[in-house]
Amino acid sequence: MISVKNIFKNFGDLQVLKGVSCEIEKGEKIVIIGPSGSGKSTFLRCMNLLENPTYGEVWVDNDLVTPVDPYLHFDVIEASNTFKKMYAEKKAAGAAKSDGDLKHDIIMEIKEKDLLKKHEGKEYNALVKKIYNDNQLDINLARQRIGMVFQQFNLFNNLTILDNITLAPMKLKKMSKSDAEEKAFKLLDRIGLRDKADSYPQQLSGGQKQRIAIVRALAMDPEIMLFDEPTSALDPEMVGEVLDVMKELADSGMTMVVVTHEMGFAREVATRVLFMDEGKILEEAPPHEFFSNPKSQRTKDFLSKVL
Amino acid sequence: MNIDWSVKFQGFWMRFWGKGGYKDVVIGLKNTGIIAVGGLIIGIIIGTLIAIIKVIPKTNKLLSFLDKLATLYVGFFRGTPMVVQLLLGYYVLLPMLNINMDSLFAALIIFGLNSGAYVSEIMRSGILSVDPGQMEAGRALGMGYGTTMMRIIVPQAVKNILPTIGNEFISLIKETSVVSFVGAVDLYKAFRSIATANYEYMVPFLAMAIIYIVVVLIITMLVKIMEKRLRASDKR
Repeated sequence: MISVKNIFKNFGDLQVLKGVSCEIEKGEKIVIIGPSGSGKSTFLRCMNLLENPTYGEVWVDNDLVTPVDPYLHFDVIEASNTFKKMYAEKKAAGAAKSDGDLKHDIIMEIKEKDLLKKHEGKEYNALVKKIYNDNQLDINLARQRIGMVFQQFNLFNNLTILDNITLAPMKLKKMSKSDAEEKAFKLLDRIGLRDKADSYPQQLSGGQKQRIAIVRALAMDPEIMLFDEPTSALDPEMVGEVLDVMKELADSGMTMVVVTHEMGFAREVATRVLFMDEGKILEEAPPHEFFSNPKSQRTKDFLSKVL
Repeated sequence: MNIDWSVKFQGFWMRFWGKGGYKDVVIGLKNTGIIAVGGLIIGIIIGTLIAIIKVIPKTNKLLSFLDKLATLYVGFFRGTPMVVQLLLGYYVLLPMLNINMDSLFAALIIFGLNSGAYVSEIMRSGILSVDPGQMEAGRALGMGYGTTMMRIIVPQAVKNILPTIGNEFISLIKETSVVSFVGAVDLYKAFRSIATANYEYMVPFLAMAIIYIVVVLIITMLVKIMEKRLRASDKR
């Protein structure tokens, strides 16, 4: 579904993500946990490019939505002037290794030391362009397939609940008003909020807003749903109703990626738990294994504090 | 000083009603309305466009060029008095371009351009006051920047800035008193011709002031009503 390849994200001098990779398969329910400031929200927001990664690539199915990261393509590095120069130098110095090993070593050196410059020759540029043109997908099209739910709900304050849900399907999928509304009411029935169709977001409780936000994303028939700490801004008594909707969604087979502090939810729903700290994925495992038998000391410390 | 108000008032009334001076006042009032309303509408359209150009992330050269152009435009129209713009437009630019234009229409356009510069700043602050999460939510659903801007952000921004736009409208109404510089009939010109007919200025100009105040008070009220209706989505 989504594959994230070696993502780095810098905010000014602060490096929030330090080379994160993850493959998300259809039907998986991935829960990302970790201390605050560990980069988990940024990582999630990189998946639909609400944050543009500094390095690295994001693929949605077989389509590239970020610019090409030359370091991820060995043939691109090999076509660069830097590579050619280093190769010629090492050859002249009489390297003892086989040709294949030598090339591999140089590629690794270039990659690790970030040696690629702006102008790396025609062949290099043509290759980067080709990879991009062959694979790229407009991010707006990709986002139609990726639903997202925010910590702060972000319902459109100037629209009624019904319009909140029908706006995107009507605009982007050219659905007729009546079809879109019929679908919206079906979705509202599912969460028991049909009577709020004509209300405005400010008139609802946090839990109701978040359930509507989930339904708004579902109205686009996404193939995957991203949740960015969906219960963190809620009163404790409202957390349950939102988690119930999410569990029901998980049971229906939706692919989900959830950043959360709800360990109970992780244990119950996740197929895989990722633990992030300081911009890296430290550990990933199925929940029973992750919670009962964490491998790294950092994970053990974290779990001992939150469980 | 002893002022005989009744005599002054009778003199004014004779000119105003008896000799048909009110007709000019009505035309002046109508022109004031046309220029202020039309100017504000043009101003809101131009101002919204400029505000969006200003807040949009500058991803290509065209956008940064437009941004510079907008800065220049706003700088000129905020940096010179309305009268100067009116005179430059009507007596310099139009003859240079060899265009014959009705003075009222010319004034309307210049008021629109002037108002656009002010509205752009008001609108920009309005757009920036909308929670960035609203844009993110729109983009996350797959809607483009422009669609999200026009359907979600701008309506909320307008609600936030409506009182300020009301002020802009009021100052436009008051500034229409300079259009007589290019020969258009407005309230000032209408009352001045009544006044100069018998060299009696006090009552006509007082009457003019009262009309301005009444108009402005009515507009203020209308803006309040509109604000209340737009706040409907805020009720709890």
